[in-house]
Amino acid sequence: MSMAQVCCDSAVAATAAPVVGAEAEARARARAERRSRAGESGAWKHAVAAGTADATRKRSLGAGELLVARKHGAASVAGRRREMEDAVSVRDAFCAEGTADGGRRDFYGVFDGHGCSHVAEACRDRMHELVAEELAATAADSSVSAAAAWTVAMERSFARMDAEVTSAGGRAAAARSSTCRCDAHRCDHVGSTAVVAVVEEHSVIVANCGDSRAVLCRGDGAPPLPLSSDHKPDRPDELERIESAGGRVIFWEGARVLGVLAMSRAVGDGYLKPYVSSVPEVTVTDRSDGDECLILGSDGLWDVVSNEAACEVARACLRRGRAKWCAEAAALLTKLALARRSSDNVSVVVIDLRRRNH
Amino acid sequence: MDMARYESCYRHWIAGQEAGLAELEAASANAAAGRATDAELRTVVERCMLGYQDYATRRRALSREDGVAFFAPPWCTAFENSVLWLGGCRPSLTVRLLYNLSGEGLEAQVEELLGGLSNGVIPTGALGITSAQLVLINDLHSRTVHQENALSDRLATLQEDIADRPLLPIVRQRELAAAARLGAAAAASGSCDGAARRRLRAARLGAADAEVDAALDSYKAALSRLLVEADELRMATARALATEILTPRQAVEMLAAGKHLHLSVRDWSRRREAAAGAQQQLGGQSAGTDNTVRPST
Repeated sequence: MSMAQVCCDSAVAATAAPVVGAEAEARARARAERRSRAGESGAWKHAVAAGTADATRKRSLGAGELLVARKHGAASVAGRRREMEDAVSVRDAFCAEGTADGGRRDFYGVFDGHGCSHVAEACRDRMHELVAEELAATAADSSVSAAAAWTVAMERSFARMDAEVTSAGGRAAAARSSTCRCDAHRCDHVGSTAVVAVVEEHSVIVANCGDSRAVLCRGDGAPPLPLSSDHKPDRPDELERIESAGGRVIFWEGARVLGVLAMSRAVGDGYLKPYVSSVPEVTVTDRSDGDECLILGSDGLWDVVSNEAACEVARACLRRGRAKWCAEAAALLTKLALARRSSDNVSVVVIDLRRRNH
Repeated sequence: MDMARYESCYRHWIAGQEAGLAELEAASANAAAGRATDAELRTVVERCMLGYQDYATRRRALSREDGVAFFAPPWCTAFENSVLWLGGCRPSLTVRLLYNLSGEGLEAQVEELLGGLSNGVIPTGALGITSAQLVLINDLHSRTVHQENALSDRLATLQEDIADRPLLPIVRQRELAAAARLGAAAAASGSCDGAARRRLRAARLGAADAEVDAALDSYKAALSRLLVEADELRMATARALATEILTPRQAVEMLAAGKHLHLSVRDWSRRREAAAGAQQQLGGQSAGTDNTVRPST
């Protein structure tokens, strides 16, 4: 799998009635598989001409496909680290279960691994499937409100993801991963952040665990709206939760759970449970007509670029009026993070939320 | 072993670095003034690559004689040697250099973009690295680190083998034989004889022979092979960047910056170590003076 993924903006098909059901789901999976294979083949080419790279990654619509794809761009680099432990997941129309009005749902995730890359990779490969399954299960129960249903679905998805990566089966799967370098007895020391966004016609749902982040750029010069809150061990409510559970936060180059981990929630990290929780914080935000874009990023970006600066850069790229502005914004934010001496992997996803393009 | 020839090879390389830097800087100035075509810049880049290749080729031949010399070369300063990886520059350092060069000027361009003052061009920094190039650089970085780690692992295994056959059994056998002879000598003389122990130790030190030479030569040969493969990785990484990913103008800038960095660090560390050496000599003379005074008293 290529460590760097810069997805060009997806082609925009003419607006038409969206197709839902098992058939749409099968096509979504096939597209994801094609994207994954394209990425893999790219990894082993010595060099790819820019045009060819674009062609390889651009998703072509088949004659029968009438789905409208949201524009998005993603960039993900190892940067100043020798190992790449970030992973990015983009899954258009990932869920066969549509919204009440028949609209589509797109899945975006940024996962920043620590200790090794296999937990982040497992999240990239499986999280969207788990969310889709839990949404289908939750949809059957019409007694709860939409926001509560999302919270239940996301919490269950994260719990299942956590169980998968910490189970013996998960460790066996990790051992087969070509990039997993850790010893079997240290797999319990591996984990990942997970910031996940589901974009619907009328809402943006974010579930976050750890210190990656999702930020909404509203229009008309409005300040950026954080859709997630970083899980740092010294956040007052997190500190209280950890200490109530019998854990300790020790300050060693920053606040660390048991003096080890610089975040208070993560997928994996079995040996730091229950102090490091995998329960996500879920937000459901109504979309408004002026919304411009959604930005997901790992702390390699946010440690050196403020929410305000990121939104200004994205907005400036948007103003240029080019079709690929999301990909340009993602790449520019990545390069800006490197220029500002970010010392970590950097991953950025920018999603176009403007209504008139759909 | 002919250390003078190895050092001569190195001096030739340094002279080539200095001449190459001058040529690259001239090409860079011409490019900035719009007086150099891509074809001309590509020719300069290729000449630089051939210089690297020539150095690697000559090192390959010399390292067959004595691979060890290139891992801790006596013709380099201690500081220079401290940053060597398998006898040369760490290939992934080239990617780090490029990330830093590509960041130059980006902050100012972003400020212009945000202020609406730019002509609508997406900021790419002074070097002009595009999004597509960023992907390719990151992929190359990943492959290079992976190959570096594989070679580093082989060096680790080779170093650990020092504590294994063929060398350790020889050491252990001779130690046992010496102890046996010492025991016999002690029994014959009826006591532990310090003189006998000293004679046996002298005999042990003088016992260089075919078995030991073969073991040491085997280690040297393995180091030599590692050096060759490390040089190949250094070449492959530099060539991929300079001729496949970067434009000719970008390649000229990167290669010039790399040579400039190498020569500057070399000059600075030589100056400091020369000064340190002079200080040590002064200290030595002072001690001598003290010794001279003491007998008079």
